[in-house]
Amino acid sequence: MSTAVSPQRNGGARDRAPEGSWRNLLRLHPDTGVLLSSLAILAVLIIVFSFTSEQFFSTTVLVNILNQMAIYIIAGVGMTLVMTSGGIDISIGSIIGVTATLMGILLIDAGVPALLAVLGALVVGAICGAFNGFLVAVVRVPPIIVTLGTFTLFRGIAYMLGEGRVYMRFAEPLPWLGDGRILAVPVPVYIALLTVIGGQFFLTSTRLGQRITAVGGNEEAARLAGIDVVRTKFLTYVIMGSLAGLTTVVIVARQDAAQAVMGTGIELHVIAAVILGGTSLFGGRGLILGTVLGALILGVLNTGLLLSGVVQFWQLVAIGILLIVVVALRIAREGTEGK
Amino acid sequence: MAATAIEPRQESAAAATGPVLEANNLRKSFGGIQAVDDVSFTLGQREILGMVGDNGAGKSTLIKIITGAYRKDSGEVSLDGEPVEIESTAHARSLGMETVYQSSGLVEVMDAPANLFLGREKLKEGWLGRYFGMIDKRFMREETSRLLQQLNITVRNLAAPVQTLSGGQQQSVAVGRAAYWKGRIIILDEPANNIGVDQQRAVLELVRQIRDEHGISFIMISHNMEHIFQVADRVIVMRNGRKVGDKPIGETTRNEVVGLITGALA
Amino acid sequence: MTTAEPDPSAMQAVIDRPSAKRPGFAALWQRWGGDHPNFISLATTALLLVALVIIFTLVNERFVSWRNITIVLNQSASFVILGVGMTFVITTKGIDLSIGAIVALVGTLLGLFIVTWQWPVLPAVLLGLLAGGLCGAFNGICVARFRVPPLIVTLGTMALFRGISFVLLGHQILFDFPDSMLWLARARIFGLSPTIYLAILVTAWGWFFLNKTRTGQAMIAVGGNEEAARLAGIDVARIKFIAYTLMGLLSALATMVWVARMNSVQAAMAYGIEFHAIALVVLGGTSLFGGRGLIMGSLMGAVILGILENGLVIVGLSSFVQQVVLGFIFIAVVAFRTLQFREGQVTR
Ligand SMILES: Nc1ncnc2c1ncn2[C@@H]1O[C@H](COP(=O)(O)OP(=O)(O)O)[C@@H](O)[C@H]1O
Ligand SMILES: [Mg+2]
Repeated sequence: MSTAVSPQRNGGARDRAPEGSWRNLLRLHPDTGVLLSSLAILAVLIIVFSFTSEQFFSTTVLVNILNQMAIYIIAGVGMTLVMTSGGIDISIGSIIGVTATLMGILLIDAGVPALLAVLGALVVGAICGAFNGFLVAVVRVPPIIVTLGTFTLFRGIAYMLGEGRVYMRFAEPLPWLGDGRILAVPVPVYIALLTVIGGQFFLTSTRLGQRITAVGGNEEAARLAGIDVVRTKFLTYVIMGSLAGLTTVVIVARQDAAQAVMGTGIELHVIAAVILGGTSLFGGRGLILGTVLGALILGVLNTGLLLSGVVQFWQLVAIGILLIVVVALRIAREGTEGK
Repeated sequence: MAATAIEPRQESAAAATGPVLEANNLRKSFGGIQAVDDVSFTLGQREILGMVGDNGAGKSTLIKIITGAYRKDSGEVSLDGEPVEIESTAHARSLGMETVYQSSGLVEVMDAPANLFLGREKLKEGWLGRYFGMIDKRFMREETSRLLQQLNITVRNLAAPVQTLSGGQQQSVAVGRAAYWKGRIIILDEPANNIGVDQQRAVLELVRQIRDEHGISFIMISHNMEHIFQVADRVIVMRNGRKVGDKPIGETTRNEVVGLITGALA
Repeated sequence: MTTAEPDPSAMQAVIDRPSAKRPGFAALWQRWGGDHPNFISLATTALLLVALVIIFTLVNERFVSWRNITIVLNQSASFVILGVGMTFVITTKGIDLSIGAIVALVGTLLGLFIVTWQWPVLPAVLLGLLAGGLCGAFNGICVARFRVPPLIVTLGTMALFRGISFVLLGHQILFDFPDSMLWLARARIFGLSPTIYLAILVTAWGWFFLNKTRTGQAMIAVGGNEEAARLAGIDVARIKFIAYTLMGLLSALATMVWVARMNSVQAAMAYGIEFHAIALVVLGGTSLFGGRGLIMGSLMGAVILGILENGLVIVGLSSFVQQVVLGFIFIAVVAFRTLQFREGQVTR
């Protein structure tokens, strides 16, 4: 066989990878570098807050952070999928509003068992997601515009359904899902853990997961390779919707209350968690584990600032700055890679 | 399966010598532009058919209607003498037509195995594959490494996104993918565009190697006259959506082909 | 740009083309519409406006009373101003989600300056405008210089600016602005408030700027094809920076109108107005895909939204139902505009 095809030898200087052994090490797993940088931010924050607050570095506080972040992690898994597909969903808070109201109506007004109400939240969440997915995938309206519209629409529907009522005091076992503990660890943490494991498996090891990555990485190439781009995108938003429903279940269970206003503003935290975790802004690279790290960064920041006696409102400021700075640094380092 | 990723195409060597592909009176317009205007041509067994023409001559549109990426306005396509109505790129592939498009053939942020199996991921045997759609990454990686080895493409790290490979390597992966999936006809749209000169030669060499060893027919669109005269057996010339020339490579010259492209000889 | 010498082969192709079928009215309309997309979009928006007025008048004749018309116009004024800025941004293929937060921050500052610290109105207003411009410039730098996607930047600054407002004001509500601050909404010039004249002035300037100045044309070019614009020598970063800075400045101006009308500020004010601003721009026919901005369309879009809100109240719908109706209309319009755009793409 001829050795004519040997681009390694022929490779032009332009194409050659930068030398340096640690870079090559990172190159082995292209995601490692990003995950490490998220981990580094997290570590720095933990160390800083351990100095500024005496209570901060304790199991109770750390478990608490995990518990608080569970909802961001659950929704974040869905958002990671959506952003990997090259989209975004800013309507998730409103989907939570709709499904929370629905759970209240089902549990209190209709008196159905908890399991049915949970299923209802998942299904209706999926239906909301399907509405987004239809507009994004079939009509091909830009995702930011679609979900900006449904952000308003779904919230309106939630208020219409709820009519300003607050549903409270649900029968067990629903509250247990929110404040129960297994081996001293709160139940929401387990739910988040299962979601993460499922999401990681789904994204990296299943056919649909791979196709979501391909569609986000290069939609045209995916289409030419015979991937049903419309179906893939549509399903991504459906999954996002049902995970928003699952998030609702945890929120409702934890507060032991349900109302239309729930979930307001959650999209900022969820999207921030996903981006801080290293998922590409342009699609094609999704890091579920990164999203967990991103959520923890936000949690540590919130709790740390609180325990350090900083006025609560600074958290918003900190998140905004962190988000922009981290993204700017990443873009400066990688170029607009993947675009 | 033997230690080869691409299996030699036994039957094609023994089969009849009629054309594998025949296109008759193809037409396609975009609004007012007649991009492909009454074009007919044939592609023989084991033939490398060069296709040249100016920018906008209709080359890409022609192969897109043949491969189902665009719907044709009229005309007929036959494979092995059987008329076929190709509805989609997936359909074209199921009929053994593989295409390497001018751009965006690969998902640059994914690794070589993912790209080789793009849209045709291998599922794991058993319930994990059947019920959870779990893909067999190990199989995909091994097949990729075997294919690349066979094609003499050295990739240091199979898990790296293909955008870290050189342009020539990327194009080789794309061509290799077409061969891997047992295309009997591989269509290349400007395969040597945007890559270095050495790498261009490597890709052309790969085309010839695949044809010689596996008996696959090629249609190769190129801007570069040298490339055509290096590897093609026959050349057809497109101009303003029409076919204005169709010559065996031995019976024409670079000057004549250039004349046909520019219309100086029309 | 056309090439200097005509391509004979291309002309030949035109001559050689087998004579097409006689074009019917639909085809002619389509072709003409393809050449005048702006007119078509503006006309459809105007039709929608007229239809709404007729419908609401039929439902309740009070709707076309002079009093009600001035109410609608007064309510729409701040959105007209925001719409001009948002038209710039969307024309460059960007988006700005932070405008609600900018309004809150500028409002907060105005409240502190004028109500808490008892400053005279003029320097306070000037500083407020400056603050808005700086907020916009910050967005612009992040988008243009650091090339962070606009969505992410403005999502971040939405938190940042709102956060600063809360840090400064907490949950306080500041009110009782002096009459000179309220003049903008309370005074009457030929029966209309200065607000309305301001909105008209801003619209006229915005139209001129986008359509008649080099910077405005560059915005259209950048949104239409950034790479081509760059190759043509346009300083893309500068153009984007200007678009976001103007958006910030106009947000501050809208805040003045807002404060004059409400006579109160708080850190939570203007929550969610980005939806309205984007909705009215899209209603007006500005392309979501960049490269086409219709200031007059945005003007009509703002009035349409104003009429809808006012009309739905008169019809007696709850604010929740209104929100649902608005959401649906928004989605219907963007879906329609998208399909229109995709259709135009194929026959381009
Ligand atoms: N999707 C499309 N929409 C409208 N016109 C197109 C489209 N694709 C190609 N064309 C037009 O058809 C003609 C032929 O284009 P193409 O087949 O790409 O030429 P080539 O590949 O030979 O350079 C050109 O005038 C081009 O502008
Ligand atoms: Mg071409």
